[in-house]
Amino acid sequence: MKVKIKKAFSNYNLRRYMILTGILILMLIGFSLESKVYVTPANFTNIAAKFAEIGLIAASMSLVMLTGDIDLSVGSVMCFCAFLAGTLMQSYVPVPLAVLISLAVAAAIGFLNGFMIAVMKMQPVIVTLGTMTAFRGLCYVFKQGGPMRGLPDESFFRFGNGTLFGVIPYSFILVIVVFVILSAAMKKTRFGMDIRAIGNNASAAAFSGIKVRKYKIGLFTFNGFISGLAGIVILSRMQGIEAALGDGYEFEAITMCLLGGISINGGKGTMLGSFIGIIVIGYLKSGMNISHISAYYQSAILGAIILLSVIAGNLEPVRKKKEK
Amino acid sequence: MKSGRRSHEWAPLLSMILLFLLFTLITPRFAGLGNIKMIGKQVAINGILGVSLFLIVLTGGIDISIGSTLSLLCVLTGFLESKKIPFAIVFLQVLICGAVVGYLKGVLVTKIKLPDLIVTLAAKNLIRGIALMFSVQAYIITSPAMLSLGSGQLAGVIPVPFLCFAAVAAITAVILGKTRFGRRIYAVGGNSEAAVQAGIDVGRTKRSVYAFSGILIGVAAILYSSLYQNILASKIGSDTVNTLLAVVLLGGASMSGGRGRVLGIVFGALTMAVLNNGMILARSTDYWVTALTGILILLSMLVQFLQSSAVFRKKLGGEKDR
Amino acid sequence: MRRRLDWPGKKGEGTLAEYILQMKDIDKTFPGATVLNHAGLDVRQGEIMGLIGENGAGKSTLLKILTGLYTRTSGTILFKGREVTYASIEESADDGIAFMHQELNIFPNMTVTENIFLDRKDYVGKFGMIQKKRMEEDARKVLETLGVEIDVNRMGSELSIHEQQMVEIAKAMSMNAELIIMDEPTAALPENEVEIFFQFIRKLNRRGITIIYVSHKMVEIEAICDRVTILRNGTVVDVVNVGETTVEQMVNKMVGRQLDEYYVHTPTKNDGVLLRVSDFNGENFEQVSFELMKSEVLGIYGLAGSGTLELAETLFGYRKPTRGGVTLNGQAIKKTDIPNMVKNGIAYVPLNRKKDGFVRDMSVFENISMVGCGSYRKGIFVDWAKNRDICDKYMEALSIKAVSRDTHVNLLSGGNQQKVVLSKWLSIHPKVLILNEPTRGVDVGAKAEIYNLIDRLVKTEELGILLISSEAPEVLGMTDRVMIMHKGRICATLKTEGLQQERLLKLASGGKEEQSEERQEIT
Repeated sequence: MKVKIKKAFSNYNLRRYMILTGILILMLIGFSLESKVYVTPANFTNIAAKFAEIGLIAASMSLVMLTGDIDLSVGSVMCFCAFLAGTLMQSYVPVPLAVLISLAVAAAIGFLNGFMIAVMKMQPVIVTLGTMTAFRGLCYVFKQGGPMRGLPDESFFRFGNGTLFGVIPYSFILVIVVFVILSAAMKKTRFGMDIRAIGNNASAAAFSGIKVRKYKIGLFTFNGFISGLAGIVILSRMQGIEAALGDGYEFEAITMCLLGGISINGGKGTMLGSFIGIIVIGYLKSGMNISHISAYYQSAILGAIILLSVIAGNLEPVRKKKEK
Repeated sequence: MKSGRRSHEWAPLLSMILLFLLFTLITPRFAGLGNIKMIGKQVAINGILGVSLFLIVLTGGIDISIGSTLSLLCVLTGFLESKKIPFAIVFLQVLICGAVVGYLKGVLVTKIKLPDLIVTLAAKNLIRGIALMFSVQAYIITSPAMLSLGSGQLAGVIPVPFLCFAAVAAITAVILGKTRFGRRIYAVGGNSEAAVQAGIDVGRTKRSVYAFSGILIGVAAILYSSLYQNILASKIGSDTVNTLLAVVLLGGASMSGGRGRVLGIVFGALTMAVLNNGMILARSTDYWVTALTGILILLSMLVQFLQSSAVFRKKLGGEKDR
Repeated sequence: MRRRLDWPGKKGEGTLAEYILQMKDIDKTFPGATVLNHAGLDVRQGEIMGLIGENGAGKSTLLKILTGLYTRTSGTILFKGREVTYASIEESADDGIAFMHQELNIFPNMTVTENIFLDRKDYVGKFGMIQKKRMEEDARKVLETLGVEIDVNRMGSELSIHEQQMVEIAKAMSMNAELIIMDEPTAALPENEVEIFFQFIRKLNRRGITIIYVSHKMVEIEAICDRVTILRNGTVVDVVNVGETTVEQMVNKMVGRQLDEYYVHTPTKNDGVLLRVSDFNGENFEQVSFELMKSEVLGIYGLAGSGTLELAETLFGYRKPTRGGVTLNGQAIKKTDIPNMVKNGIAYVPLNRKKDGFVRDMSVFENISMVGCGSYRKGIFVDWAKNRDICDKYMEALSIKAVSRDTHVNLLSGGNQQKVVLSKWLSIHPKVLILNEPTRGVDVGAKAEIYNLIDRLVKTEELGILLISSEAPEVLGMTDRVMIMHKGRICATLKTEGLQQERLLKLASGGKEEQSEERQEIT
């Protein structure tokens, strides 16, 4: 038994899961002392609905980060697509068509990112910072900086606010479905091995016949698409939208991935890790709100978490070398 | 050959002049002395911060926490001012604090070997959090020394903030061009492997650059406080990264490091200031400025890509000739 | 403090027997491997000392220890009679040791002057300003003394390879170096400029500068060195005077055995053309045409920079050909990118194993199944169990020594890493296997195993193998035919049987076949 635990601890991913679960349990105990509502199903529903959009983005961001890239434009693209879909609906375009158009536009933006990064070999940070700024600006243009309220077809809101069995929001089920599909693809097909190979050593991957460029473009396109999907979900949940929405989502999604064990240098980490990362961050933020920790401290705490989880991930190979 | 190398700096000057003419046509008020003075004032802060980011970019790195560092240092300025501490000491303390913050970022990047993007992303949140904690309500700057710094004019024409910007640019240009430290920065960004072989301590150079860039942010913070007087951390520097990146890219710096000159950054900053001021005067919604900034970033990247592929093609041709 | 630009230590003062450098009992262990075992290097004042050894013998480690890039595990170093331990290149340079690296370290974004005097404290004047004028003057002076005409204001990116080399030497000279270490200095130099470069080295040497010359080109060692230190497996086998020994003796000492006993390949019966390459052109090579038979090992021999690397990578689809095509089994391959080449059954074991060959942070299993795992499926999912069986099969067949198939590849030795790369390709049963320096950085035991494998593969699997190598004995011992490449062109295709090493070397360095005059250097 002891040997088994020790062996599990020597595995990078299993160790992450266990540490994160430990933190989650500690948080559940600690914050429930502060407030009785913290561990109730109602609070879970609340958290799950609130973090569904970021969770979606974190899923596809995990893939982008596994190949060693990063996408900072997700928050802007999400907001832009929500505005686009809302505007279309307000001009009486049927809901399904409006959704499809916005998703296509989102995917196109992702493709643009991917093309500039994979084919024109530009740095992901700069390119996506550029698209991030450009589309954030365009969000403000839609309503001259004001919010968008009221859509003609109210049935559209049902998805964002409905729950299964009164506990699990539909949007969170969507997150779970995306994670399960991606996780299966990572484990059961060669997709997972290919993108980890690209993230670890793109050159060796290319020399093994892996289509590095196509993968990168594909993943950025997918990331754009998922960001658009998150935009639709958030529009449906909030029944309206403002231009600053989603500012900082890229940061939170990256935090979740890093915390879940995705290496910033690529090639290391799992989808399950990112999923646990979402839950931990979700409960942490909810706990901080319940105990009235001000937003300023929250921002600082999240920054510290990023640093700590990256340092933890970075220190491991060093220690292994020293042991040898 | 030399003229070819310098063309990078003059491109933003040209675009600035074109923009200037365009805005003059749209709104005659634009070319008035008052407005030009205004632009001179407006360019100062983003210009100095642009130089500060440019230094990091020269070594091949990036810093997206400049905006929040600015807000922290502004809050510090306001805090010290409210304690009625003499200006000289406030000035010194802010610069030292800037250097320390920068140096710490450098330590995380070079000693623990974390990617600069993540370090500065985390630093951005951490520093902003700290800044917000210290500025529960706004600080109001009242000391005459600082007020005259913000509103003073040399010979009744040139705004003092602009002079500060010019001085910072000139000093940085001299350090980069004429000192051993400056040459080291170019060497580290140009070919870090070769720099190691040449006996340059790459880590130490990078840490010094982060500290130096922190000092410049300190200067910008002092100017900001004296220009706007009302300091509230949440209002300062939230979208600075994008503007600064546009300034640096417009200025002809290469994001992979080792290329670019301060003069180019000055013109880049002026272009952005003219654009910003002109758009507002032309009563366009200033939302377009944000969008345009992003588009400018992408366009400059595109230009760099085209240039480098042109150079590459030329090189290939040259090889064959041999 | 101003330092004058002087040439140090006039020759003639003191005797030749005076040692400028003595390295004794140097040990160096890396995690998992002993690289140097009581190695040493004694260099006399004013001589040119050659340093030879196979890849992995410890040459560069020894020199890195001397210049302070590595720390030694044990041993002593005496330089100019003083015991020294340098902590960095900067310190050893200050003491008069200059290191010219194989890859030239020129800063493309800086002028010649700046490249020569980069980071030198002697030129810091008032207020920390660099004295540019004086620096330029001195740069001009140094280049003049070397008899080189390069404008000191040109940018590094505009220099030819030869000029870059001259700048590197100027850099060493300007530091008042008394000992210059040259690591494969001619690797990037066109053949016709080598002699000019040698004259240059001799001129330096006459001024009293001591030189350590590292090269794997025996021709050069013989031409330029006074004495040679031979390293093998981290120990010094012998120190010989060049005039008193033959190249063969030196090579035998370096390799540590009679060469022929370890190349097992025997000629095979070739039946039918497998791969036809016609009028193939690309970056750094042109007009390459050849045929590879079934069950044949075809060697491509060329010195560094002769275009063999580019040819191999273009054949595999990593680079784009500018003209010409490839036919496999009579069918033209239209799309030349790696995935399509792999699909057609062409496999490539790259030159730079660490960078291009394997993924170091992934397991042996993942590396081996990286190419072929998709061919075994259950429905839409990969059948990992089947893949594991295949992986085990190859690990056993190639006797890969690893704790388990889940061990990360970076924990294996060079030879086992190479076997992992080979297994990866063998698992898809390729028709053509391109091997680029397959035994570089591989220990002797694994080397023999790889040679055995090559022989077995062509005989049992009807594979065609292209063996690219710059080691003449390997080419002569392992191939059926050999193509010799020089300056991007195939200059001869010969039957290996009965081919002499001298002829191979002469052709590869641009010598004409008819040329019958006996040159001392090529023995």
